Amino acid sequence: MLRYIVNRLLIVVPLLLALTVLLFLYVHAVPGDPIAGMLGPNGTPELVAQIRADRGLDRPLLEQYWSWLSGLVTGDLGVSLISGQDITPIVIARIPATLQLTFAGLFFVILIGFPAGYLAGKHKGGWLDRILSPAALIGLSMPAFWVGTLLILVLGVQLRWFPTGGYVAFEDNAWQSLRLTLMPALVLGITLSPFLARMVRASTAELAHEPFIVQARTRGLLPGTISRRYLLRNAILPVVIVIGMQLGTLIGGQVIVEQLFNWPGVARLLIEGAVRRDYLLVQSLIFVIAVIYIVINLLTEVVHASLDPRVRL
Amino acid sequence: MASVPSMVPGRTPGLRVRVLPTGGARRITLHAIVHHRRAFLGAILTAIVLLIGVVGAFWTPYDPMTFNAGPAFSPPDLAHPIGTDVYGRDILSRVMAGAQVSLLVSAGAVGGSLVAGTIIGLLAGYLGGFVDVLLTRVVDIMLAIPGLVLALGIVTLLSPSALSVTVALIAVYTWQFARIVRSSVVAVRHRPYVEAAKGLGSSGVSIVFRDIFPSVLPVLIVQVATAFAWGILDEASIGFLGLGVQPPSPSWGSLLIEGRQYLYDAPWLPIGAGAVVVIAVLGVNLLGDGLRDIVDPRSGGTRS
Repeated sequence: MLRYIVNRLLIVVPLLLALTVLLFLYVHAVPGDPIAGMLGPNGTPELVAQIRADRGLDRPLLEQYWSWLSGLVTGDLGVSLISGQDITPIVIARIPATLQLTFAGLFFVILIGFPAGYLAGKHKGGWLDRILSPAALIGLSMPAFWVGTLLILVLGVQLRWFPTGGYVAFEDNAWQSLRLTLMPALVLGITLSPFLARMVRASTAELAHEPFIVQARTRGLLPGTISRRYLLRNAILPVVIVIGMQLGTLIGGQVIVEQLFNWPGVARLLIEGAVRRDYLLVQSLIFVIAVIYIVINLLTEVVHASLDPRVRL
Repeated sequence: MASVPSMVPGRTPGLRVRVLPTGGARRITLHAIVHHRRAFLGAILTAIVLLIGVVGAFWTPYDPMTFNAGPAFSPPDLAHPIGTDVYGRDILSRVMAGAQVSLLVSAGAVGGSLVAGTIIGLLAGYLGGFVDVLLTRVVDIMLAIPGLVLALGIVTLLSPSALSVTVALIAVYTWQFARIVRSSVVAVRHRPYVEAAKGLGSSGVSIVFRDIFPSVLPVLIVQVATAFAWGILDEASIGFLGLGVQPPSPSWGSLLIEGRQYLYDAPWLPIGAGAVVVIAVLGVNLLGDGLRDIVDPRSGGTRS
């Protein structure tokens, strides 16, 4: 097990390093002068030069890369192109909101996706499957902004059950915080659970023909016992894999949902940076998001490997 | 990716490249599509959406850019089936006119990434060795950035326009194509018929395109359908975030920003424009799903 983890880590480190090179080149691939572009008609050459020097963009490329990289290692993400503020504290302030939404979203993804996939797979071809499978395909085709808009209009505007957007920290007002989390998390659940449902369905349906299930059946075990003891346990495996696989989509969904519900998270910061063309902020945020993505992927792989010893081979 | 373990799994859980006993996957024929319920339904929906795009390029019920085609914020009625917006523009006309932009962006993104990804995948898979390791690593890095985040990053570099969105999406989709092509090539590279062609003195280019490429084709077609659905969704998403095609020129993405601004005054705008996106994506998804089933009947569709 330890060897497996070390092996995976050995792949991650060069991957991250290459990613920093790519992202560094990204900022320098900006056509024209990003600072002149940012300042527009107000940008006198002196002002441009002053900001350039202030943000450290006038140093040799290698030196710039080195200082960015050594900053990253110590957790310093550099400064914003526009405001000149340190990025790290801004990002850290946004992390609790983002995590709250991510976990609430994952909760709904599993709550909807797992039972639906398991039941459809267990009774493959049955009436439930014939309702759930097309429903999953429709769910897969619905953009998060559309589902979110519908929920806002119905639950927020018509019925007035939930606020239409905003964020309150959990420790400030737990009840209001949960009320505000529900709709955006539900959007993530509705739009992302079909992936999980389809995977769980396929693997559960395949399980029915596995020798150990057939053997359990011939031993005369009750269907309920077989389900509990063998089917359910094995059906949980793909959940871990799908969470790793669909993480990119979850992050993409989160970008949309944070924007739609005015959720002050990291993803919304990325959009704010993109709209204002703050390349340095966007660069650092892409790095942070990619690191989170890679780390969670690594974790799901390790969990998967600990659940299923075959993977370690 | 057999030799080099990949870090990040692909975006499509259903689409894992499987080596079929014949060396290539089953062929996609018109007959197979017509006789596959989902594929057929998807093909019809896709055809309708494409037709809307073509018709919308030449004719719309009202001029999509003209103000006061009707009263502002008029709810759906016979004259304006999806209502009108803040300037009294007919939304159906705008959805029809926007279809071409969205479909062209998506088609451009798929076409570009198909070509780039196929070239990368063929090179990596056929040449092997150092080239393979290098290209595989690049693919891994690119897939380590969530798709929409990468697209946003690239759109930020360029000015917000249909072309920028296309370029950004090519940069996102290419790697998935490359990965699929590479693993298919690796799977068939040492098959007897490829070795035979080599023995007969065929050139490398000829082997790649005449002997290896045809066996990759069916899997690629499925991926094209999947990516086309992503393209429509992503163009709309980037537009919704305000970084794609800018209003007033209509695209499904730009219509959605306007929809968000006037959510309370004209809810039919986001609902209607969004519903068209859903139908388009659903059609392409159905088609892709059906094609996957036809190519690889064991992939676990409802029919098997």
